[in-house]
Formats: sequence, C-alpha cells, structure tokens
Amino acid sequence: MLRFDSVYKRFPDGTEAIRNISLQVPRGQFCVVLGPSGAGKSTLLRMLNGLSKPSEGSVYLGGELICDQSVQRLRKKVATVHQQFNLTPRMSVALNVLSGALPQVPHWRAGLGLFPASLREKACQLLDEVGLTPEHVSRRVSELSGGQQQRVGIARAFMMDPAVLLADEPVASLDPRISRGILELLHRQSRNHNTTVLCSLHQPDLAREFGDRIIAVNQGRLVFDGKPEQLTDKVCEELYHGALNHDHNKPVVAVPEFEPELEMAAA
Amino acid sequence: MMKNLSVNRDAKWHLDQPYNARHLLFAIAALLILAVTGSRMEVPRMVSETAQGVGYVVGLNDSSPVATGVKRIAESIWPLRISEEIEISRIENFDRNDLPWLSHVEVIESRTPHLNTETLQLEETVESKEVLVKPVGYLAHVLLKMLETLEMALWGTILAVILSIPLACFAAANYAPNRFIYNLSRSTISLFRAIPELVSALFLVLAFGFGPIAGFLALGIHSAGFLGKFYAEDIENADRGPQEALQSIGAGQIKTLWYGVLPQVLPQYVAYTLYILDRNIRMATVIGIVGAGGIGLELKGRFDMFNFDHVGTILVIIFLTVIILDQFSARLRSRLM
Ligand SMILES: Nc1ncnc2c1ncn2[C@@H]1O[C@H](COP(=O)(O)OP(=O)(O)OP(=O)(O)O)[C@@H](O)[C@H]1O
Ligand SMILES: [Mg+2]
Repeated sequence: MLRFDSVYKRFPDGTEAIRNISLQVPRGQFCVVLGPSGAGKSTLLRMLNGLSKPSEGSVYLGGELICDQSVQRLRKKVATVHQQFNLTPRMSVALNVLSGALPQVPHWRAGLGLFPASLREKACQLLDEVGLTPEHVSRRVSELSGGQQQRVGIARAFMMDPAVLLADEPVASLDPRISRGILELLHRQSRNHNTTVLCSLHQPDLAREFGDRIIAVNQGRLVFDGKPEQLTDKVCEELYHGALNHDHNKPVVAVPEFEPELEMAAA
Repeated sequence: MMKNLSVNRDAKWHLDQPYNARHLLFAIAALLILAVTGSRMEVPRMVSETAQGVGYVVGLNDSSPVATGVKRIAESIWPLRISEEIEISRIENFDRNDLPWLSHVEVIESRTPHLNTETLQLEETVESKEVLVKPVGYLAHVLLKMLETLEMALWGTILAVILSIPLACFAAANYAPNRFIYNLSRSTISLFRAIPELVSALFLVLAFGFGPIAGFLALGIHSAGFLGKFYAEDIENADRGPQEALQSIGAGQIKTLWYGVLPQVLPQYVAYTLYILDRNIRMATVIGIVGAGGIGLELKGRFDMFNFDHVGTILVIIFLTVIILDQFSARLRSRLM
C-alpha cells in the first residue's frame, strides 16, 4: 500500500531529516513509528500527504508514484490526524467534520455550507462512532476538551473513506487515560474501514499494545523494524539514548512475515 | 552551552551614561528644525494672539482680533436655523388647500427704508408678502442630507469590502497564485491607500457629476486600500494547522480559504469593517465640500453665502451623529471581541 524507495529529505537550511529510508507497509496494517524528538517522524509522514517532497528517492501510494501531477488526486485517499488537532477554531463541530469531505463537494455547495444529505448522515454516523453526542454537533470546537477535539479530528479523517490514515503523534497533548481511549478508537476505526495506518507515537508501551508492526527512526535513519514483542525494553532504552544507530553492516531487525504485497506486484 | 553561562573574571565591567555626543547633536538638529519650521508656520503669532484672546476673555485687555472674530461667528450661528420660509410667489402650482405637512402660511411685512429724492426725507416702504413657513423644514432638510451622507458611507464601505476581498487573497503571500499577481495586488492596495478621498472625489465629480456617486466611489477606493492590507495580513497570520489539514486532503485553495482561514479571521474582519464604516461616515460629511454629495455640499453652500445659522444647524447634526455612532460602534465591537 505504502512504499518508500531510498528516500532522502534535505531542508533548504541543510538539515537532513530523512536519510535513505526504504519501507513498505501492506494494506490494513497498523504501523507505529517511534523515535526521539527531531528524528524525522513528522517529515516521514508529511511526504505521504504531499505537505513535503522527498529530495531524493520516491514515495508510492497504492503503487502510484507521488509527484506534482498525481499529488492532488492521491491526497484524497490519505487522511491525517494531527498532534494539535488542526481543527478550525470558531467553527462548529459539524462543519469541521464535514470539511473532511470538501474535495468531493462542488464549490457553490461548499461556499454556502450546503453539504449533501448523504455526507451529513455520514458525519453523524462518524461522530457517533467516535463517541460524541448530538449536543456536541453545533458547539464550536474550541469549547471541547482536547480529547473530544481529537475525536472530532478522527471523525473528519474518516469522511472520505481514506485508504491510508496518517496520525502524527495523535495523543501527544492528551493525558494517559484519554490517550489510550483515542488509540483504541483509531485502532477500531481503521480495522472497521480497512485503513492502513502510519502512526507516530512517543509511548513505547502504547506502541506495543496497538501496533501490528513497529518501526523506529533516529536521526533520519530507520533503526528498527519489527513486531511489537521484538521491541524490548532494551531496544527502547537504546533508541531514546542515541545508542541505537543505523549500522550499515547490520540489517535493521527484519521481520520475515511481512511479504511483499500483492498490489505492489500489480503496479 | 555551559561555557556561555560561566562568568569571565577578566572582563572589565563598566556602565556608560545613557547620553553621548551623538545624542547632543541630535537634540541640536531637532531644535533647529523646530525653530525654522515654527517661524514659517507663524507659531509665535499664533501664541501671542491666542494669549491676547484669553486676556480679553478674562478682562485683562480691551480688544483682541481673535476674540472678536470668534464672537461674531458665535453670534451669527445662534440661534440655529430650524425653520424654513419660502415666498409663495416663488412656488409653482401652489395649492392653498393642500399645504405640506406641519406648515402654515404667514404674512410678513418687510420695511425697506429709502431716501425720497424730492423731499429728502427718509421714508419707509412697507411690502407685505405671503410666505409658507415650515417650522422644522430646514432641520428636516439637514437630516435628509445626513441620511444621504450615511448612505454614501455605507455604499463606500460595501464597495471597499467587495474590492478588497479578492485583492487581499492575491496579496497574501501564501495564497497568491504567482509572484506577479502578488506584487500587482500589493501595489494596487498601496495605490488605493495613497489617494486621498478629497483628491479622487474632485476628479470623480468631473466624471460622474455632482452627487453621491463620486462620493461613495472615492470613499470605497480609499478604504479598499486599508481593508485589503488588513485582510491580507490576517490571512497570512492565520494559524497554519487547519489550513494544512484541509490542504493535505486535497481541498484546494478556495475551499481551504473558506473553511480553514475565514472562520479564524472573521471577527477581526468584522471589526475592521466597522472601523472603516465609522471612518467613512466622518469622511463622508466633508467630502461633499468638493461637490460629491451629502451634507458637506450643503455645508459648503451655506458657508459661502455666510448663512452661519444654517451652518450651525449642520455642524450640530454632524456632531450629534458622530457621537451617537461612536457609542453604537464601540458597543458593537466590544460584543464581537
Ligand atoms: N521546515 C523545516 N525546515 C528545516 N528543518 C526542518 C523543517 N521541518 C523539520 N526540520 C528538521 O528536520 C528534523 C526532523 O524533524 P521532524 O519534525 O520530522 O521530527 P519529529 O520526529 O517529528 O520530532 P517530534 O517528535 O519532536 O515531532 C529536525 O531536525 C527538524 O529540525
Ligand atoms: Mg513531529
């Protein structure tokens, strides 16, 4: 479903945020990205929704190369859940959720705020699925708690039936109990909608609990790739204290069960 | 990191006085400029004549040209002109049985003294004429003119909003389609701001004739310059998060602006627009002086004919309107914030 091919990302100021990452994520997988601050997790995710372009190498989505010509079309298959929720303040919960379907709506409808009935029904259903109640609908998002706002963000993300869901530290600003609830929700939603998830986290224990697979980046390099049970406390310790660096002679912890996917062959 | 924090024992510390020779030079230059421009502006004469006027008021000296001037104007302004009298002989198709609302007919006698050339005596001829008296006629006329002024300000503001919204989108660095359009709209906005209303109204009166069209066009163009600048800055400074969220699903520029930016900046926009409306009302009262409609036209006409009682009424109405609107818009703005 997702494929990175020897991807590099250099920012104009010379920072190398991503250095030679190759990665494949099959359809339906819940893949967690770990790594210390500044490791390049956000940059990695932003290359999938076109907010950032690789300096070298290529990124594929469903077998299609993400480039200037295809990005606007491919974006419609990708939804993002953000650390800071990135909801429009001063706008109602309903409109925030509906705005997740904006690419499907003609300009005149969007301008007048007249969303078709099918989309409005879908928004209600999603709001129900993420655990909000009808009295939240007409409130402004700024009047909701952080956890509730992230629920709105998740409902918005599923408005377009995304094939891929990117979650960039979706729980970084929430308390542990709410965090677990949000991740449970993300996990359940992506299972129900058969969505491929790439989710960056700062909590190894949550990663182990919810990830089908865990990868770790450090200083822009892929330093770990394995199943949750392979992420031992020792690996975590090394990851966050900088000892776990990419060794060119040693392959990253590989997981043989992840076969090259079918759609890759089809492309 | 730690190196920067440690204290360097060898360093010689000393704290200077806050002024040095450059400050002194600067002060001398400033004084020179004030002295030269002050004498060109006749500031000393202004001070001495004002002092004389104050002295006259408190009884220190017997005459003052300023005080007499002010007194003369004050005497001719008061009482204010409220009623309107029209000679019936000058009204076409006058119908005695169908008088306008609140008006009545009066006969007034006017005496004109003149010298009889034969007897060399001073004689008086008494002429009586019938006039139609409207007791609040002139006040009503001024109020109507004030309404026209308000309408001019309203339409000037509407025009400014319509002009400035597309200009602002193109003049916001993150939404401009390209460099050329960005620079073009930036300079258009600056140009609009640089043309004073009274100047553009002079020319617009030539194009559209006397009346409100020239007035509200002039107001609209000038204030579009302000609104365009304010709106564009707000678009640029709006929180990027919601915009990225919509961009990343492929919503497109226009929908992103509508759903990601507009709700954020709307309260500010409304506040700016109200401020511009407020400003346009003040400006609309004087823009008529160059012939562009509204109460200013009436003011200029009466002033030129030395009808100071009429001028007094106009000034009082302008004054009251501005005060009332000030209260109103302050309250509206505080509710929006
Ligand atoms: N626009 C940019 N210009 C220059 N450097 C950037 C830019 N964005 C990110 N970087 C740099 O790229 C590196 C990776 O940043 P990134 O945001 O991907 O880290 P991250 O893993 O998401 O960190 P965090 O956990 O704190 O969110 C950092 O060194 C950062 O300073
Ligand atoms: Mg990040």
